[in-house]
Amino acid sequence: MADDIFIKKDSAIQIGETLAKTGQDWWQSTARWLEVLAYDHKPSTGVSAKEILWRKNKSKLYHYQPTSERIYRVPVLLIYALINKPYVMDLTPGSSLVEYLVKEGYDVYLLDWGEFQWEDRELTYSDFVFDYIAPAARRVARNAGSTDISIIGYCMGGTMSTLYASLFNKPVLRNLVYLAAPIDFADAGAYDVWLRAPGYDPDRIVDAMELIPKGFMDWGTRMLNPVGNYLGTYTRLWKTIEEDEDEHFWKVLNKWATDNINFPGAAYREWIRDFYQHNKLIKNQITLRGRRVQLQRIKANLLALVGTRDHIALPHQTAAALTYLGGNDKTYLEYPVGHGGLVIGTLARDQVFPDIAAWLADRSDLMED
Amino acid sequence: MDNKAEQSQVTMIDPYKLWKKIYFSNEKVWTSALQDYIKTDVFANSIDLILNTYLQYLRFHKDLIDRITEESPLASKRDVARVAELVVSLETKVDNMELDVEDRLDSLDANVCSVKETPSQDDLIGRITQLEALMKDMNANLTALNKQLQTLAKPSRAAAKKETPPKSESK
Repeated sequence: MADDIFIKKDSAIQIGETLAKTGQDWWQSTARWLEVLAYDHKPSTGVSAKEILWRKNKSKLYHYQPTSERIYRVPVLLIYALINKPYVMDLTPGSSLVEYLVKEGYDVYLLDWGEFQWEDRELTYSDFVFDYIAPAARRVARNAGSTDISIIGYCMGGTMSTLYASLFNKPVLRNLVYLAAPIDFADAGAYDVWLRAPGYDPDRIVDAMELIPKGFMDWGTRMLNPVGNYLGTYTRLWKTIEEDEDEHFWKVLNKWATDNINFPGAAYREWIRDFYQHNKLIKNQITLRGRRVQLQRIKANLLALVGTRDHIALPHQTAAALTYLGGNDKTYLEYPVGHGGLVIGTLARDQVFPDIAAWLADRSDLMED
Repeated sequence: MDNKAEQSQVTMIDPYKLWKKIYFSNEKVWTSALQDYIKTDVFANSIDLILNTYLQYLRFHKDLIDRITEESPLASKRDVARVAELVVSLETKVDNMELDVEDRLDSLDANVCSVKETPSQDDLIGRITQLEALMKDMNANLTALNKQLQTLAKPSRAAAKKETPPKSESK
């Protein structure tokens, strides 16, 4: 093991030459590292061909253009969280869930929330479910010419899909896919300690901030792994350059990780108080516009995907869906990745995307039927 | 021979590789140690102390700015947001109307589809011509029938006159 730190040469001169060359390589790597951090333009992301099917406020409903013949009648709607941006689902060609599903013959749609501003500070989960997700789902079904739809919800997007699924019957929700979506908020790791601490008062935060700034949201996520996020990200880039690996993937990932959005204050209050602090979702105590969210009412086929190294939505938080949701067809799959690893990286591309597509294929009508 | 060659080689620690190895091993240890630390109550409480102090300042600052901008003749952030909220609510109304119209069109489509074999215009003209011809025939038949009835009615009326006795005689 320790042998790789030794240099063995025929003469001291050769050793000197090797050291000089390594020193020069390191200097070049470091110069390139600084160049990437300081000057390099951000790479393009979310480049799959699409049209805007519907827009409301800052949100947009994208319809992805087919790259192959459409095989499945049931369309797929992707719903992302209110933290960071949804182009992580269509990160870069060759590593994009959207691109994969379109190639497999699915009619794919994505609801992009846009960037919330001061006038959106009063938006609540009721608004998101009733005024955004429900109309989007109707438009997806109408455009696809189908009475049924499938929803893939990532992280908080999965939780929001659950709220929708419990309250709306039309269009029929045939399949529900969770990607690291928290359903049970008990034992939520570091968040459990932070958000239940006596000094942490969401009302006080919202009263003072109204619109929660993106920097605050970003800090909350990054502090879950401070060394990894504040230092490791940059040393990893240096290592990538020094070992002559492709830096493109680091760039797209870093672009997404630092591209956060503001969070509406009213929704933040609900998210912390009702979900994290009181765990109301699994207790069927969430009420949206006078209608109670009851998880047993959700009869859709369920696929729950988790990363075993996820420290944002812990595996058991998603696995709880198998206990609380009402359908009969439930599948649970684990992968040795973190929170982002379900949609980013080689394991996502080689295992997660094919698993999702295959599971949906067994549960979606063909176009000829 | 090989052993001899190896023994004659000069060996030295590569300071670059050594540094890289130490650094990245250490980074893993720091990551793990800090991840454990942030899950402690001590960390959570100290962070909340900083956060609450900041929130106090923010609240004071916000109230002060609000008081100033209320008196100001210029539109404040809140004023602009109010207009934006009105625009969004108008958009929601239009959106709801659009969905409502689409629903009504759908139900109308369903009703129209339920009426089977809708006749074409040519079909209708043909049928009207047929009806007109039929009515002409019927008219002719009725006229003929009427004439026959009238001819039959004349002799019977004459016979009836003969058979009926005068009113005074019957008394």
